[in-house]
Amino acid sequence: MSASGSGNLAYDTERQYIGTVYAKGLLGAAEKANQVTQVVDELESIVVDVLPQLPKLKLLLESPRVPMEVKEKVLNQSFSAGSSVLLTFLKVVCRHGRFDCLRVISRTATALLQEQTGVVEVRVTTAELVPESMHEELKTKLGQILEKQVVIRTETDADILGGLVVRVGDTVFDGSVANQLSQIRRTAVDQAMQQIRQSLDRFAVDAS
Amino acid sequence: MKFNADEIASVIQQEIEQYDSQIDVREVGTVLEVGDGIARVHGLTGVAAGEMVEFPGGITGLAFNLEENSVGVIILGDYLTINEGDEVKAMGQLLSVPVGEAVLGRIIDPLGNPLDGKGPINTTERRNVETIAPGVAERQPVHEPMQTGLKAIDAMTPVGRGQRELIIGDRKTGKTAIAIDAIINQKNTGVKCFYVAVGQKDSSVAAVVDQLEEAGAMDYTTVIISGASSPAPLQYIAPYSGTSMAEYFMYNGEHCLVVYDDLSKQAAAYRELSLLMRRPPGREAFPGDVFYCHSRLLERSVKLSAELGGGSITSLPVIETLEGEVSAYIPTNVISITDGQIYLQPDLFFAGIRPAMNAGISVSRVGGAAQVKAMRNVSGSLRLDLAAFRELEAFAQLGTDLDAATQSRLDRGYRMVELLKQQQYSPMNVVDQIMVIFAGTKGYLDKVPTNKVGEWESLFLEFIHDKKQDVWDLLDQNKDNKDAMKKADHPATQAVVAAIEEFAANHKF
Repeated sequence: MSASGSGNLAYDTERQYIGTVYAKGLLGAAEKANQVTQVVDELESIVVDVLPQLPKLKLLLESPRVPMEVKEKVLNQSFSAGSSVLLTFLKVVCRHGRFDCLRVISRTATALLQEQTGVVEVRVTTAELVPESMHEELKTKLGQILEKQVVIRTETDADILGGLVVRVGDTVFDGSVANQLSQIRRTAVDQAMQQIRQSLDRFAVDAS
Repeated sequence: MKFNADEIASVIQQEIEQYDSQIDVREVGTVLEVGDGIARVHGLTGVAAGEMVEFPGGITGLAFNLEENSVGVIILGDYLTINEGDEVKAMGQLLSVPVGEAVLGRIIDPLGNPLDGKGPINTTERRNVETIAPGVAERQPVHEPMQTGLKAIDAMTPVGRGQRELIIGDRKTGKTAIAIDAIINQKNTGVKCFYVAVGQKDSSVAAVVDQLEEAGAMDYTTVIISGASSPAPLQYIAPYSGTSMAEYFMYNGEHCLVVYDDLSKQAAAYRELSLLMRRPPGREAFPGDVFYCHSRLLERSVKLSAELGGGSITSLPVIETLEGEVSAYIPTNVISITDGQIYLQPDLFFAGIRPAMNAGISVSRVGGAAQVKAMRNVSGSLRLDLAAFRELEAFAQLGTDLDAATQSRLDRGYRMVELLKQQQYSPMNVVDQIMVIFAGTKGYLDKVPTNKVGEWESLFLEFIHDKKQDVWDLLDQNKDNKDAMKKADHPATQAVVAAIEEFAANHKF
């Protein structure tokens, strides 16, 4: 059950400091323009949907050798359909040569927004794909338990065999079949070992 | 022996039938980077400093550094099987080791895993590796002797139960030999011994174990090994886990002797960890809290109050100096923490004076109160006399003519130095020690040639044990009498003097 998927890349300690500063700035600007959710969603869409598809665009915007005028032109042509706050923000990021931090900025902005609005992100892992209807059911159930608004992200991992693994923040509630089997194995072996140690005679085969 | 598979299967079946399915709740993180015995982990937001964490494959670690965005973990095991991106699980408990009678006679690693191939450690009790030392109200002053069996030490720098006596010296000066003799001498005294080998060659540890086995000392001794090939985290925790095992006996009212061989290697392991964790280096690149690392360890050596059972842990930490440099960082730290030190000098060692203790700068700050009274009476001024003799000896080398009084003091000194020599692995009973030191300080050896002093000693002790056992017994009964061997009219003194004179009349050297 190792971490996988594009939204779950290893944590980037070095860029995190920069990312937090820019994310806070973006949220502040978006708040003034009163389009916080829209801006954060658009940024996420750029990071998740656009840049992986167009690696050359990413390279161009990250490269220090491309003059700023060219980058601004490209940004204007590509993202003018979105909100003006985001466009300005992207230009600022480019000008400071921090376009490589965009993924971290987007993730931090989403996390900060969720924190502000009292939303928790819950990662649910199942062995097989679950129908959408069950997502809604899960969402309401988890919302009741956590007493917060819940956003669900689903993943599938055949290794867990069955059941659910729910991750809220850093806490994992593991109800998977694989985990239960390994627990049974551990307790059974531990108990057997302890009993053997306590009374060797019971387990010994008579030599005669 | 053979096992009955059906019986084992029935136990396992019973377990499965009774198994109560519960959702496993755990705090997790992800490995960001790993190497050199440490890992940096993202997540684990609720983890406490010193808490145990588990990597895939059952390898445990300790949360060592709690930072803003990550947790530094020291890995207690094979870090090569851990990969970036692995899930790390907080275990919600502190590191503990198995304790109890079952660890005696065993050779184990700092986590309590057996290394001697004698099967699992059969105990259910565990103690935390890091515990806080008992407070002031829970202690009492050191007052019982802990005999090392070495004349030089028991006479001049006596060690009491609950004392911390540092053994310090260059390489190859007999530091470990003193500690091993002290362990061997605890035979039949009920004292449990723990030998913690940190960062040493496995071959030297094997030799030590052999010696202990040969002397029959392994029955009451536990050897805790984290050798030179162990990762730094294990070397760092080894002394703490050895102390935990000793504490079990101490809190049950028993007495323990712990040898940390050696703490300079442990400090180096701690330095390695701290530098990898990017803690700021200080003097000699050691981290700022290396003093605390040793002080909290040695504070756990205690004489407990009578209400708590009066148990004790005596510790003999060993420090290796470089070129006799006692003013280096770690030696000064540990000297200031301990209740005295035994300083071993290479030039004495190579001159054949073994144990190579320098009487001038070796001290015992609390052991005097614990010394056997008769021993204190015979050896009271021995340390100062020997120091004065060394000065006089240096002066005499100038070749000037000496007056008779000075010459006789020199002669007495040469004989005392001879008398304090002792073979390795042959600790002596305190009563034997009192008799021979008494003979030396009172001038009964003045007529014995210097090179015959060793012979005199062995023949004299043979004579006492064969023919004068009554004198030996009398002194043994009176050894805690404050007048014994001090006042000439005390019966024990009279009997010993008579025995020495009788021996002198029959043996000519």
